[in-house]
Amino acid sequence: MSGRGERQDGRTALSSWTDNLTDRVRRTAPGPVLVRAGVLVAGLLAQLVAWPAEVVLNRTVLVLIVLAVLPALAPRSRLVSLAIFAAVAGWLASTTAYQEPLTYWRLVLLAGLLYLLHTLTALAAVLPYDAVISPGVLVRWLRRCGAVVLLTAVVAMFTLLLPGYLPAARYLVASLVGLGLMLALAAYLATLVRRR
Amino acid sequence: MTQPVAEPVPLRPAVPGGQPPAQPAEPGETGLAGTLGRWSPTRALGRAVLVVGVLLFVAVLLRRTDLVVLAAPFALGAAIGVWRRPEEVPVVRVEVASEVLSEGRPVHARLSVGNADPIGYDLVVLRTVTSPWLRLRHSDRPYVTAVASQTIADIDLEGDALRWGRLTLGPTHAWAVAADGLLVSDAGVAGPRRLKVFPLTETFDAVEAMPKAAGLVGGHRSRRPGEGGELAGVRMFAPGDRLRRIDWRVSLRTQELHVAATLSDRDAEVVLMLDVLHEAGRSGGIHGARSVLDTTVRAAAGIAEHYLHAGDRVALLEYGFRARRLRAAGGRRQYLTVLEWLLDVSAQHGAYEPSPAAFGPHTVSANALVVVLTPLLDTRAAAMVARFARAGRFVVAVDTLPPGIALPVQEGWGTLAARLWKLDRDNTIGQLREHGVPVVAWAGAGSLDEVLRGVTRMAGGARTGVR
Repeated sequence: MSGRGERQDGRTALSSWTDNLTDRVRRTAPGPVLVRAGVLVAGLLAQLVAWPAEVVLNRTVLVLIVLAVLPALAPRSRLVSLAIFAAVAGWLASTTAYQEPLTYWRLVLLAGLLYLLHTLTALAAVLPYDAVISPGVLVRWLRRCGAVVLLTAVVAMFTLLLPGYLPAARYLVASLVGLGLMLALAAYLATLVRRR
Repeated sequence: MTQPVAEPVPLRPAVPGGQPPAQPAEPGETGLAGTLGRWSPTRALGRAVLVVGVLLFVAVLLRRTDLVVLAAPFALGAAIGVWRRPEEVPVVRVEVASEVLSEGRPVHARLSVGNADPIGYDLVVLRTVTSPWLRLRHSDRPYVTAVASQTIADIDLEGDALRWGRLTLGPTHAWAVAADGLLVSDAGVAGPRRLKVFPLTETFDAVEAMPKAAGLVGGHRSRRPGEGGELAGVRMFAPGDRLRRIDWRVSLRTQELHVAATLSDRDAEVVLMLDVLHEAGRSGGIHGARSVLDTTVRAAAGIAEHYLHAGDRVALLEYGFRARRLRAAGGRRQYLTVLEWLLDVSAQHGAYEPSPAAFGPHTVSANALVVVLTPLLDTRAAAMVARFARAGRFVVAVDTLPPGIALPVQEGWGTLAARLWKLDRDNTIGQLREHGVPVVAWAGAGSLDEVLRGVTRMAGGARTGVR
């Protein structure tokens, strides 16, 4: 008797879940879907750029696709961090184990794609799935993202290209100063993360 | 959509009493977190810090400058965003063109969200709650818009009021996002706006027949002699008669003074009793199907309008557990009061019988015409109507049950049960007719003509018998 009751409860819960899902799908608005599609594309491109060609042209690319899909499905979860660190791991593997050349444009492209993934996920996380979005919102968001990526390209130029023109001692000092600045920045941000 | 303002706009706080003071920073917490005030960091900020920290650590560990480049956009984006962060939360205001309207009329509302901060919001999410009978564009979904610094963004909501009642627009919440999604503000709230949507009155017209006209003045022909327009006959002149009433032709012929006697014009009292014990049928608003309460309220408004226009006094009574009552009065003002009173009509289910003391025949004037608007779904209402009839009141029952109402179960035993229920209801109607209560289905103009004539005839007969 109790078994039948449990089965009935389970069926009711499943039916309720299905109805809820159907309702969500029906109400989903194009704006949030577009943002999540952007998350998917940025994540997929980041993985493809980061990982070496041997991995990308193999069956293991399915894992990369899954890693790209997860942030689009759950932008509020820790899976976004997982996808970013997976791409960084792929980048490290590509430039060390697979000995692929570390080029300036590939590095800037990867940094831009990872930031795009991060910022679009942040946008998707604050957008209700059924929201009507004013068109200007997305354009301004992408414009700010572009400005940050542009700054990153400048930083990359100073980090990768400038050392070739500097003496070794000055380069060491500049590296230490730069690293110190970045650490200070990270510490400053870490204090802000602490919630009230 | 967004209108720039030349000067900073002095915005009124949406919440009465102004903004609550910012929470002081907890002991042991850095002042920086405290300065966020009414803003909270999102998970994205935590992720940015984590990515920057881990990449820098690995960069030092492996002596890889390329990892610093990968960390750079996260650090730069977060630093710029947090550095240029707004401190004020959005202020919301809801405006409605008219708070008093009737069913089916257009509703014009405007949601305004203001940013009093010198730094713009990346976006503001507006979410409002509306009554299901308010069909407004964009009102059932959150709306996302960008609000620049010291500007107001307006969102126009256009639509219709579909059904009578007290409908609400709001409360409206708005929360802002800044620093590229790293910070989110507390919600600014605007309280609900209440709209009065009056029922669309059914076109109603009735014959002049009225069982008893009881007042001193009015528009109905009474059976009592007095100053009026209806000729009652010619009689001998008596002291007190006005000279202009002298019928000279008859006086010359008879050589004695005669006057033309008239019947006085008097008003009547109409009591509308609304049976709200049950709601049946699914209301589709002004353009859709009608429920019992829809018919009841619209019919009551139509009948009240007709009799008040004719100069009669109209009282309303709700047959339910609240026992709401509107005293009898006449005139345009009473009509507006009736409409306002009808807005609060709602079904009141209950297992017990409403107090007979509150709904006894003694509560209604002996000369009043009692029109009971009832779906006749409950024997308690039928018994109440029968009590009025037994006490000699002039009662007319108006059947408000929608024709062809769909039953919840329409197959198997449900069909049989429906037939039994219908037979039982027909039986109740038959019993009421045996008690002398005419029962008529509501059909708008002229619905009550036949039964009013019958009631008037009965009233006249009873008076003759008494004499």
